[in-house]
Amino acid sequence: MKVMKLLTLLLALTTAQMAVAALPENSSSGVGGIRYYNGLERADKQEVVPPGGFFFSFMHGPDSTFAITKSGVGKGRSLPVRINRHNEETGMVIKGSVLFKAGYNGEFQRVLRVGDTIIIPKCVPHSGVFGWDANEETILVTTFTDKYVEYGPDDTGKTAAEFSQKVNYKPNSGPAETADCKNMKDAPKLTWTVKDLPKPE
Amino acid sequence: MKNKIALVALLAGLTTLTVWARPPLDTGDGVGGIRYYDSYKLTDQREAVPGFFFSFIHGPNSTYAVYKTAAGKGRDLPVNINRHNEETGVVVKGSVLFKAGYNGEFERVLHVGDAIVIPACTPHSGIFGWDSNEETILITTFTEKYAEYGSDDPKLITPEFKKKVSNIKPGVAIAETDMCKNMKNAPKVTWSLADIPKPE
Repeated sequence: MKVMKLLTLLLALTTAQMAVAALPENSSSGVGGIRYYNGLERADKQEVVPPGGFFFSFMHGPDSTFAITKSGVGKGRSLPVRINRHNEETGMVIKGSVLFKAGYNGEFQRVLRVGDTIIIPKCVPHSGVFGWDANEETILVTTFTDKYVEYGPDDTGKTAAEFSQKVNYKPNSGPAETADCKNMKDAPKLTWTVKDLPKPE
Repeated sequence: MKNKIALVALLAGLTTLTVWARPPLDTGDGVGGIRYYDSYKLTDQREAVPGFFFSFIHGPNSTYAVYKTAAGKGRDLPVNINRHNEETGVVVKGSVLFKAGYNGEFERVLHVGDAIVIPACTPHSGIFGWDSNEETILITTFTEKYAEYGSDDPKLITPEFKKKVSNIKPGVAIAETDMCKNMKNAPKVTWSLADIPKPE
């Protein structure tokens, strides 16, 4: 009887070892030219302070930057995000909701929910209120189609001063602040500020 | 009684005025320079090959795409795409065994939140629903407009993409575009789909 139990145990252990051995060995970031990270785990560790309740992580490629922006429950609503941009940006909501407003006259306005996707061309002013529907936890995944070098290295484990500065904005400062956008010929005037965003009910 | 009726009428009138005064919350695609679409909804309507769903949207200089495999169908569908621009991707549901590099050096099971950046001309491939043949969704952004995909008209699956996902032959060089072919000292690709581990 004991022999049977021992054999069963050995069989189970062998099966477990085979299962582990069959799994591919995970290679690290940078191997084969590929950069890798778990964006959600990293974002949870990188709270932007001030204002708090807002989390951010990113990873650079040679010509792009991938980013995850997350607001905590009950804390995101009062945090409009307004980023001046010198490159194109794509974004998709994977959790929660964002009231998103954009355009020089604020023409585009929509509540983005899970699966909703936007593409923001360069130099287009945009802003948002996270957790719009119910002050819920909200996660937005974005890619910048140039490397966002101002964010600094992505391996520091800290939120870049550049980003902290961006979310700690001053009302009435112009969103299109980069030289690229300032030098646009016939650049339109911006007619709205964060104050013009609707307020949650 | 008359007072109650008057009060109700007044409240109804105020409510109506409030609704009328409020500007519409949602504007359409393309307004203010912004492109918008409901990617999950659209992806579900676009089955590229049986069990595999795909949708995308172009910006002026980028293309955003969603790849989805249905539960129980995704495992047999390795994706092998030659690329002329950089691509970022993140798994938002399920799992993908992802392999990349000229020697297949990078190999990792990607789960929810796992993100990758694939530089130009880097061969890569993957098997969706790796863990348990589950429904899997990968969202990606190409950092140039992927013009070969054609119009992002939601009614169409482009022949270009169908060819990519349904006409894959083992041993074919992965970096097929002119840009990658013309790279100086371009390394040889040493692996094919046949070298990807098989799910148990």
